[in-house]
Amino acid sequence: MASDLAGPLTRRADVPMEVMPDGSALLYDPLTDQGHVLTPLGALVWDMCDGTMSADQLVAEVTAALPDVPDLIPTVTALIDEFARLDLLAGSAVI
Amino acid sequence: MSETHPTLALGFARVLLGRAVSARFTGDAPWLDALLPLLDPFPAVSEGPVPAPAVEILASADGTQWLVRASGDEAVFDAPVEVARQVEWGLFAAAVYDAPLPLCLHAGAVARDGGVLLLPAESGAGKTTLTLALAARGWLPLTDDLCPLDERDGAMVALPCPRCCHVSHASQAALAARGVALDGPVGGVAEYYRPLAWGQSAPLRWIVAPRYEAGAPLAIEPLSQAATAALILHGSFTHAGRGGRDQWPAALAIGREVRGYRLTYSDLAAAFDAIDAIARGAPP
Repeated sequence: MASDLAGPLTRRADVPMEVMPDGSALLYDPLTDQGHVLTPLGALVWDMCDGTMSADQLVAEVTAALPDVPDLIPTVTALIDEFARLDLLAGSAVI
Repeated sequence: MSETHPTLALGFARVLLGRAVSARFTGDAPWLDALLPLLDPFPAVSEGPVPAPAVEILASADGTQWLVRASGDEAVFDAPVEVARQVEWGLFAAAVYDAPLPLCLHAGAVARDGGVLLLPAESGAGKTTLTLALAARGWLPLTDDLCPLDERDGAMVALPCPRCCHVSHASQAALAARGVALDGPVGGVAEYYRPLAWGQSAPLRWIVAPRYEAGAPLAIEPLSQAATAALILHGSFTHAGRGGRDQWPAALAIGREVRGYRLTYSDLAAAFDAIDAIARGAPP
């Protein structure tokens, strides 16, 4: 299992992401007034949290899209868990 | 006092960071002897309405203690110098809160060759020492801890804030060892100094987040554009009614335009070399 999160992953609609020219990205959480820095991979994962995939499906999708990137499963899992820990996902439930 | 306004029975008003702020007091005010030199570079309010006092100083009946109210806090002091420190801080806190600027950062800033190097850092990271010490390499300070930024002709420009620098005894020794002289203690307030010369407003060209760690080897970490923008966002003081969301566009613009680095150092000379290399576009 990629993550303990159940159900489709949906990013919070009120958290904007700005992708910078170098591929890094910044999220802004208006509830905490905090910015969160993402790598290009993190930006991709955030973008894929669109409510259409579970954590397992998302990890499978990313690893299929980037087969040459090592250690992708733990990295993507950690990103999803971090989004959840920061309450950036809407209505996530831990199973 | 020439700057006393009719609406302030006993008081004074100054323009700090583009915003008029005022203080009101009662009773004897021996602390003014220490405070006014701290505020000297900032002009008195000469026209227009004076805002409600941001700071109130109430003398005790016997004139030996003063209650200072500022930014929602109040504290009692029995030394005039401590009153002056608190009032100076209260006035700047009020000015930052209301400053009509896109960003006010907790950062040092120095200028050279028509560009500004921003040094954002938390308190205790060594930014005052580094900011002032860079004079040894021809950088002139704009501020050691409170950097106003404004947008001019599409570029983010750092403005000088000639507030006194709080220079510890250890920093004084480090600066003296580099031949960097200071003016002070200003108003006789211990550890409050100004540089002998200030830099001028200039576009932001470089960002280096410094961290002094005793014994640490020199380390320079280039930051992504998002990390640079986050550094600006996190280092920004909150304005009245304006949180990070309103400061977000300016922070993103800086992240896109200005290259950021983290610098860990224990030796000032090595930090100077690293900063000069970054300014040359060739970081080590």
